[in-house]
Amino acid sequence: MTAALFYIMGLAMLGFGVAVITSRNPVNSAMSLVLLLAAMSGLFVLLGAFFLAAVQVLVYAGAIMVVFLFVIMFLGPDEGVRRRLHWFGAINGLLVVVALLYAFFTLAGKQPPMIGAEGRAGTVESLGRLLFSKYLLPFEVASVLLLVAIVGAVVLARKDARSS
Amino acid sequence: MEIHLLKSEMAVALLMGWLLLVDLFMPRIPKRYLARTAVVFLLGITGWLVWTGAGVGERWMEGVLVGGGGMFVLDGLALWGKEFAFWAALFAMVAGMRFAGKDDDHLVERVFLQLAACLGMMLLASASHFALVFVALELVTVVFYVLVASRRHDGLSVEAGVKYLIYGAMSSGVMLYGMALVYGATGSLGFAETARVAAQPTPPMLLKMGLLLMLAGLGFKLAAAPFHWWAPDVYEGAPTPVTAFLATLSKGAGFVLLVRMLTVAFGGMKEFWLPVIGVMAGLSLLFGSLGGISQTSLKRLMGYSSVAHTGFMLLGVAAVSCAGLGGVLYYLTGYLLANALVFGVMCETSGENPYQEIREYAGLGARSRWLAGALLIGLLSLSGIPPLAGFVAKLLMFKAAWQGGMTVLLGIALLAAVVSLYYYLNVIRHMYAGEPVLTDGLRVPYGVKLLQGALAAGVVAVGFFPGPWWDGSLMIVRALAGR
Repeated sequence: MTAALFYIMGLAMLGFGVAVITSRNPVNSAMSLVLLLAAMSGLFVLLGAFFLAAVQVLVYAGAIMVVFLFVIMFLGPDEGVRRRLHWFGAINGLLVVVALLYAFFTLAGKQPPMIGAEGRAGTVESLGRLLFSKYLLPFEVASVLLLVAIVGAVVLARKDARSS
Repeated sequence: MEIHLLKSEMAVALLMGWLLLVDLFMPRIPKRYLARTAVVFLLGITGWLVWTGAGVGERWMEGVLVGGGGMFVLDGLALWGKEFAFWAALFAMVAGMRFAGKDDDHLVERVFLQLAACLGMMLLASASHFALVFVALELVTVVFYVLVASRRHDGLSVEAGVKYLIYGAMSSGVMLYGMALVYGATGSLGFAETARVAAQPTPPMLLKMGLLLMLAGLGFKLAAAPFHWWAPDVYEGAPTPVTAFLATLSKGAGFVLLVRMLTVAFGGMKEFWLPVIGVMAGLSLLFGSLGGISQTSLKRLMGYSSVAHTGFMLLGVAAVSCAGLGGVLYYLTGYLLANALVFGVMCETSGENPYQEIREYAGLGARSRWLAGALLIGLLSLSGIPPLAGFVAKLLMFKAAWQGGMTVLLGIALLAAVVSLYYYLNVIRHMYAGEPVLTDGLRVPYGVKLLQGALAAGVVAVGFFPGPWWDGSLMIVRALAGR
């Protein structure tokens, strides 16, 4: 059951991923990305990361994609120009894929399976415990990071008092 | 969590918060005064850090001081990185205030952002856990996304900002992927656990892939070839004080992280990363020196120069010896001082020469002997002329490369040194012998003269008496390697 679900989600992700970069209408690309993210949250559920799955749907498939669509609609979705395939990019991409596949297949069987996070990682409780104990310092720094991002956005977006 | 180890970071964070709140609730206070107060406070924190060693003095030599659940270490390298961050931020803040002019709306916000980048590098210098590494590195990078684009009415600045944002986000993603692979291979994000797995006779392929991706991401922050494309464009487009900050702080942050990561976490995988770093060093040296020849803008030239200097420093990392790594720290000291001099002069002339055309530097020697002298010393140090800091630094790198048996790289480095000498001297030739475009005298305030005099004295002192700096760097690296 788990394996079947994994393959369904994985194939869906691959298919939608290809659709994101091949579809000529930007709105279709964005919608494919929404479906891709939804399928990815399914994978998170399979891994037992329920909180992450919910956040994935809420934040990425929800909020961020709305912003994407908003921008696309705002600029007007033009029926895209036919993009040419960049051979350099394609070859580099293939090389990376081959290298990663090689890494994963040499790993398979020789290593203990990849190690999950400690305990029942998927629940909000265990995540909160980790954030406020072991990962307290990065957590606090992340709050500074968010503050900096807000100040930065204001600096870049605010109207000048003089020029207006 | 051992909170007393984080005193200097907390002081900077408090200063940031104080600055924002005072600016918000007391709008009557002129922004220039607020910014100056922040500089004075930061100078005070720097003094405290240098004087007391962040409150731990020399205790770091007796054993590792660990805080934050093993994520945060306070050792020699961390203290060195924090001091570097302070000096780079202090200089950038002063240059930024000189550059800004009287009626600048965003002065306080800019100082706030510069403090945030400083905080990011301070944390990065101490980070020994990839989670903290990532957050701290992003803190530095996000600040630069904003600062690079902060001249919103200048198309070049906005273009540079967008380029830096796209390349930066991409490289952060690559780095994060690398960290995820390291986690997959070791089951932990800590440097100590990673080191245990990396020390196995045959480290897992997944760990190697992770390290490779992280080096690619870090190569971007360091402007190391082949990840250096952004550097000339962004250096040229960014406001001059931001370019100065970018050239010093992000380079220092990258190298401190690189040194700690490669010696502490991946010390057991030398055979794997050595060729990678070697190739990056050779390419950086070639691209940085050859690319600079045909440049007509001094800022763009400094972009290529920074790529070449990254190459020289990577040479020291590739030598995998205490002499090489200590040399990197020494090199960074000289690099910071010389860059501060060069960019300081660029900030003074940016009003009349916004794109920093080298041609327009013609006649500077007659217009302001002081500025020309400062630029001369800065450029000579960068090119590695004997009594100055840059010369000793390059010599240390060459020696480390020679002892490491890297003859090919050494040849490339010598070639790069000669080629870059040409383009630095070209600027000096224009400055003293060129046909002047402008002839009126440049007035330089006493404060700026004092600062540049101190920096020039620093460049000469570090070059003439390399002893204390070299011994200090060596001690730091030995403590790191001995662990």
